[in-house]
Amino acid sequence: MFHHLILQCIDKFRGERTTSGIYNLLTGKRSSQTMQDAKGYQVDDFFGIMPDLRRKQLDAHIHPLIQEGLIVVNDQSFPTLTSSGKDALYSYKGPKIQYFKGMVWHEVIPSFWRRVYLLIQMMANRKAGIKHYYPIVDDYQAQRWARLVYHKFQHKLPRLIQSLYEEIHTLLENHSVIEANLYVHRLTGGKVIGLTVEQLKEMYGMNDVDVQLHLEHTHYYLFLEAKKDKESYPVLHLCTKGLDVTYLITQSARKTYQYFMQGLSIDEIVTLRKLKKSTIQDHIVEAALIIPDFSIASFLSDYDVDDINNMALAMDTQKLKQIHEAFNGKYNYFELRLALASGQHRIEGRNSTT
Amino acid sequence: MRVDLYAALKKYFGFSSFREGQEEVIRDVLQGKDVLGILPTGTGKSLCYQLPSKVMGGTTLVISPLISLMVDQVKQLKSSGFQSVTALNSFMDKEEKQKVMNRLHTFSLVYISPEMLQNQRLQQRLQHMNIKLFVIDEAHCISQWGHEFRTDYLKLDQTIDLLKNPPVLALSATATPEVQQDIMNKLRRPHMKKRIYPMDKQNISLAVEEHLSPEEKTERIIEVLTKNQAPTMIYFSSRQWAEKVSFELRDRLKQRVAFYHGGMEQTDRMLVQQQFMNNQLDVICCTSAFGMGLDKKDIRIVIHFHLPPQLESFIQEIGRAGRDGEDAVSLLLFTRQDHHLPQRLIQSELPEKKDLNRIFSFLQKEREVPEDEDIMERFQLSESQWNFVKFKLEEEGMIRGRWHQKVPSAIQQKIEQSLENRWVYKQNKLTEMMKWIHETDCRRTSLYKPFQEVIRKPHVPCCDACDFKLDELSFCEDYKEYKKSSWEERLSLIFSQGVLL
Repeated sequence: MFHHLILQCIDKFRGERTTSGIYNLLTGKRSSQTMQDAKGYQVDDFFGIMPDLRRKQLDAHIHPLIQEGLIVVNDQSFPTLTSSGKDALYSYKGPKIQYFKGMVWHEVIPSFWRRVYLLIQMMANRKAGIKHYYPIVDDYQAQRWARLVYHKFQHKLPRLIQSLYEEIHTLLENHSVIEANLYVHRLTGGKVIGLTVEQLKEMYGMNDVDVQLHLEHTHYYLFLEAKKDKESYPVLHLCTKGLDVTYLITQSARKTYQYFMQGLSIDEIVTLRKLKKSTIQDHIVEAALIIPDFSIASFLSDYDVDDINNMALAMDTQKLKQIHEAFNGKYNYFELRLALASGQHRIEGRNSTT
Repeated sequence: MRVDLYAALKKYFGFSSFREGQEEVIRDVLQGKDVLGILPTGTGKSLCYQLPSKVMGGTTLVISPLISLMVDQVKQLKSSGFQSVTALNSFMDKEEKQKVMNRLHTFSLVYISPEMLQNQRLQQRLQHMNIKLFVIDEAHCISQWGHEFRTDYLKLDQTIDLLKNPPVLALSATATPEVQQDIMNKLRRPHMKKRIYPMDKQNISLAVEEHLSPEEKTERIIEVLTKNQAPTMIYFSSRQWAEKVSFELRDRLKQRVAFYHGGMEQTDRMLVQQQFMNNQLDVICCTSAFGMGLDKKDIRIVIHFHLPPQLESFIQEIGRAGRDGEDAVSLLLFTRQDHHLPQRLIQSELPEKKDLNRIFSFLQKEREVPEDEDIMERFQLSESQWNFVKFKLEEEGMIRGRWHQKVPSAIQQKIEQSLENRWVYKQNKLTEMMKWIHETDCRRTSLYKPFQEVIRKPHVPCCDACDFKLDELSFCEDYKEYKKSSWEERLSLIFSQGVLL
């Protein structure tokens, strides 16, 4: 599955981004470059879905793809798909990658799965009559949450337990078998302790990155389904409570954004915050990317924005240098980035209305 | 204080009898005496303060050197229904720490790391609390002659004064008579009631074997474990070896094997420990990071793939076997080259002389002492290497917090000398270990002789120098193989489906 994901990323990046770009995307690097790429190349669903991925692991998985002739890396280290790479991408038979929504949810997914694992252990142990045990998730916030739920619903625990079992059962029935297997064998409760990634990898004969990716995919699946359907999945829905979209914006960018909303100019913010102009500009681009109703009218007219986006569309690229040259320097880089960033929302808006 | 100890034991812990030494220590403690308790691993040292803390009310402070150990203890207590307990350490997140601090006085048992104890705010807080008992766990850490000397333990006597001298209970599993005396000196409590119990395990047979290569060791383990099926721990001194051998064993044994070390992801570490406790695993290949606070009673075999750096660690590690009192075995495997590994371990714990000189001249140029992390990074020192230097400088009054002064050459020499002493000490410890593995007389006698006068007669064959033959050993317990089940089956097992409440 990881290979498929890598091929997808390379395909979307169209030879315009390096392996580092892929790495930054998957691990969710907080930089305006990475975020802008995620949006621009429409891979924002994969943003931050593998926070623990190590660079060495990624390289180890890219290497065989080169050897098998599925991708080629040019001398500027931009990978592209070969024609057999394209075939491999389209003929992929594994579980479809369909539930990741990284840009929106990657920050809350860990809280969600921790809650679920703990709650399952608590409920299952209660049903099995096991009173003394170690919580399987060593996280203070999650433990506090689970204790609260347990006390709050003390009077109707048996019903809650049965519902939790049925909710998971129903959701997994509509999920790929391999991912259902991996997920359930990871769970701890009653008389069984869950398996480690190492053991799952052995049992199902796959590599450890795939094990983790499949588990994460299932976490997203359960989260999204539970979030949108409270009626069908009341207990899992409970586990999503309070886990909301946080506008993915760095603390520093937030500050700049606040000053900007108070009517300060970029130069005034530069003086006030004692930061470089380019940094403040990064913040503005970040805000334009993330915050849907952020107005950039003080920098660019609607006409300019359309002008730039149309050019990018016509040239079929997100590469700033090429666009800059095409305009003969009519717009500076900051304006280009800003226009492309805000252009994203227009495209999304159009897609969702059609 | 007249208390029905047995009723309390039953009520709070569900036991109906004490293990050796527990009752005597607890009675002394309840009479308000200062006590030095040397109780071997696996005899439930912690009950010696857990029970009094329940009976006496107020708060019992427990100073414990290892955060992981501390956290394990708290979890273990909580999982057995002892709720009024907490651990304060520097790794807690802010919110959590604040919460605990605010209601510190409501806990009957508070574990604190020694460095945390030096926090001024905490000290003020403690001064206004009703501290009934001050416990020093792993008390040998206070002695330079102990095998795990911790500089921050040396300030404990001052803290005890500050708290208006509550009764002190110092506990250790391994302390030679020399170390025992040193503990009392350093605490400035020469009249502590000594409660020393023998640490020789009468239910463990000992064997040591020399092999030519690591591969040969692995073959030997496979041979032994093919004939013997029972919960087994194999200790390694490196993570790589623990993994490597575990893969080999997994392929060639029927037992369920896993590895465990500090470099694993936290969830997976937790799962492996729980699987072992739950008898879902038979063999654990681990580093010394495993087993801290682990209370599995039925471990039958402990194998050392590498030499520990000193006898004390070895004694503690084999002490994890046979806690249920049933027969158990310790097997140590070595090759001629094996002393290199503990040697390297010692190097990583102590700075070199040239490090000292570089630090001295660096400080001379600096206005204030940099943060610990920065200085460690700058000189490529491990935490314990820097701690050694820092403590020595503090001891000589050369640094205090961020403040420091020029180090006169007399003091430089003094510090160099104590570093050298420490090196020699560690080397001697290793030599002691090396001597023991080459022992031709009774191994039991030579292993425990430094710690106690009388070595008891074992209930099992003694050692390979006496009457123990490893090849005649046969443990045969039921074991299960991994069963691959469908997710539906597994899920319904987890949720006990088909079972009525």
